[in-house]
Amino acid sequence: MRRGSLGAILLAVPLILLLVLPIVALLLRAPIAAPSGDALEAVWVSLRTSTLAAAAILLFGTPLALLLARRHLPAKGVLEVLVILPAVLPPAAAGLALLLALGRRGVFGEPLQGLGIALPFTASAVVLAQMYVAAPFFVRPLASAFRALPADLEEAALIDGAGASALFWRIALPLVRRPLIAALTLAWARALGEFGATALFAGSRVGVTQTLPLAVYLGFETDIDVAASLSLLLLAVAVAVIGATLLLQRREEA
Amino acid sequence: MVTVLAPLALLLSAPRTLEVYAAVSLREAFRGVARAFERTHPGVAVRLTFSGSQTLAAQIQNGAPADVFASAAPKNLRNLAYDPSSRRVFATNRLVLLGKKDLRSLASARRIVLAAPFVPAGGYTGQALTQAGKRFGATWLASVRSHIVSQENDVRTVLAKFRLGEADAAIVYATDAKGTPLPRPFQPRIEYPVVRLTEAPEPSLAKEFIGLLLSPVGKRCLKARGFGVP
Repeated sequence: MRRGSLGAILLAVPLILLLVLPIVALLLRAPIAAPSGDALEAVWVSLRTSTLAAAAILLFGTPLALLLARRHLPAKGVLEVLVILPAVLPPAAAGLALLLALGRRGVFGEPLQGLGIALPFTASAVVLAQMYVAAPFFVRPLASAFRALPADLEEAALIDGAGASALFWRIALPLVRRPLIAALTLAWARALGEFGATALFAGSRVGVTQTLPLAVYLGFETDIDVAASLSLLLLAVAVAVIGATLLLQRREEA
Repeated sequence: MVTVLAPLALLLSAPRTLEVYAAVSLREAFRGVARAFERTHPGVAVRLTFSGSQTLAAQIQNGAPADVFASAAPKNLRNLAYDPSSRRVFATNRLVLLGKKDLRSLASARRIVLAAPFVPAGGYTGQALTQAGKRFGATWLASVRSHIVSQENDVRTVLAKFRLGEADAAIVYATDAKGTPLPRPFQPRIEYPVVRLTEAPEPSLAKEFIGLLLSPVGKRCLKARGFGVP
């Protein structure tokens, strides 16, 4: 479909406006102030944790996506629901659930405490909360991409004597590279913007667990100008990374 | 004729709503006051909104339709448009320590959760800790500060995290939980002001609600929860 009808274009306008107007307002009204020490700390916390979360999602999510892409898998339905759940659960509920699971008196947290591992209020807790909410945004599109690979590819590779490892690294992965990068960027963005789950599970401590979204929310209550310029900062960081990713993809296509 | 009278009758009998915004530490006390108000004002529904006082102030500043605002600290009234003649201090409170026997041993707590500095409870706690630091020394204060693992948005979240077992120690209001009251020299002056907002949709109801809050009925509700009444 190269050209949409006028009707289709007009119908898209309300949503386009809804997406554009807040950004325009932010650019017009947010004061461009030099970020305070606390604001810079929030930027570093956010960048550190969301990057770690994205890396972990890449490492553990890719095999999960492969698993979901298989045609026959016992309890596949259950697994699929589990993967979608974080995207559906309100972030505050997710944070509470993480606390009940991994808190000091939590179901799994209590034995962990015995081992000397205490998660809440640490940067690791932020990473875990971000991983939880961002995972569906990576795993599901990647599973779709794997599923879309032609079935005879596997057979052809096996005939040529390629093992499962070569099949994955040399054939499947290069073919899904673009959807993989797109899905990872989306998951990273979701991790960066996460607020409710980290606020509950990891708390708020400047330099350790106070992420940029949390700083925006807290700033809103003390000084709207501070919150607005922090939002601008968040916007800039997000645009920079997403823009870089798109540029990389563009160069691949060329 | 009926088609005109019926909706008119509905409009006239529609319940009026009084929007009361109150600090979260006032939750139980204000529910009692609201019930008493509704009993003496049939046809009026009191809608209570509880949150950190700073959150409520920000919402009101941005156009939230509040009639009455009861804050846990006077400083949250700054920048709000309210009727100055309506302003009264209707309650006082004290800070208590949870998780440790006395304030000095707070320095040995590994995980302390407090309200954030811009939250009334956090501001009061900060004052108390500064005073205590003058008595117990800078090392004590530094030790306490380094063990603060989280600063929450309102005092009830602090309590919740302590109850969940996530914190070893916390400082909340005496009206929130039973704990060790801070020694008198370190207790900050905690005053709860109430005001009627200039843009109140129901100014006369607001005035009557504040009247009830200051009356023996209101005082009873507050004292029952542990507040002091001036």
